[in-house]
Amino acid sequence: MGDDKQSRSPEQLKDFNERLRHAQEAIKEQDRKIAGKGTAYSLGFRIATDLVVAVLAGLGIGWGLDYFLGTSPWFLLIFMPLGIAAGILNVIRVAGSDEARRHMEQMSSRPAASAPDEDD
Amino acid sequence: MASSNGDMNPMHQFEVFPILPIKLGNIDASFTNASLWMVIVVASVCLLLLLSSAKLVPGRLQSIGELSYEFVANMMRDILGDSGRAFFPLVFTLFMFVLAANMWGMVNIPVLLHPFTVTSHIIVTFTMAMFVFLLATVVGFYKHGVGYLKLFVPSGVPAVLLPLLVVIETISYFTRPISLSVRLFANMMAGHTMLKVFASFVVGMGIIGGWAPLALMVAFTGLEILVAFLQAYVFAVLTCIYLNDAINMHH
Repeated sequence: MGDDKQSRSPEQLKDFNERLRHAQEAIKEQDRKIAGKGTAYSLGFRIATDLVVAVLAGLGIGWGLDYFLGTSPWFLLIFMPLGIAAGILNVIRVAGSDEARRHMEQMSSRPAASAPDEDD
Repeated sequence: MASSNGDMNPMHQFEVFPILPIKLGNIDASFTNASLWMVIVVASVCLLLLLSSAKLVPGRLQSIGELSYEFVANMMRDILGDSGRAFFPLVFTLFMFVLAANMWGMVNIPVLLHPFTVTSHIIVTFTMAMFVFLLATVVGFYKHGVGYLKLFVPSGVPAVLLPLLVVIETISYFTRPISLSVRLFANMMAGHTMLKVFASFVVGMGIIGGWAPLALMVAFTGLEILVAFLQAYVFAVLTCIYLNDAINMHH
């Protein structure tokens, strides 16, 4: 539609944009509340597997190299700590992600808002 | 759960057997029960999305389709921004496939229908995870050229520690497909095994004691449906995160 059909005053436009932003934020907030139910579980599970898998991968690489090169236990001793370090790095990364931060904010704001849960 | 022929083994449900034996040279390419359920999963998603005629006021089926579209689109916009529009079909397909496979696994009609949970086999989830991982890597190199390797070099680190951290970052990067696949497979397999174990308790404890495990099973079934949904969601979210790392590359 023609946007210069009715030239709007800047104040009107600003007001409209303000209202639009508010409305969009409200919708987003609602979406987040719905998604927030499962995020704790999914975040926890992501952290757990990221940690365990990296440690096991470190063990596996070390053990495999030792097995094929016959250098037991040296590569295992090198790669196990590296795997553990990679696992911890993964955990720090997930815990510092936007999703985790959003979840933490939600958790801390929940008692203040005391919104009644309607679906459980 | 048929106790008459004695298959009380909780792992029995994961058995793959050929329905239509096919041999290609030395390769066994039989059409198995796993293949059958993959076809059913894909077909059910297609039917859901295509069969309902598009109306201005959506009916139930159309609502499901529209809601899942909105859900994935919102999630992608949150994580990837507008740069990831091109990957919507991929993420949506993965999400719907995993979700439908997990949900079909929760269906159980005694005697008549025992769905095979496709996602409870690690080779299935690993193939999907590996595809995502390779795609993200190719996209990363395509977008940034050799500069994509900077992903392995954290910034602001003393030079002494750098070689060590590069190795750690590399391990962390290459474990992505493993953790992505193990998470989905382990959740589905553990849940289904647990349900079967409790089901065998119901039979084993008889009509007097069997009610307690039965009640637990009902509760766990609810939990498993939640897990089935969440794992599909997590798979899609992580696909987006890996693609985001490849496209936007801010570490």
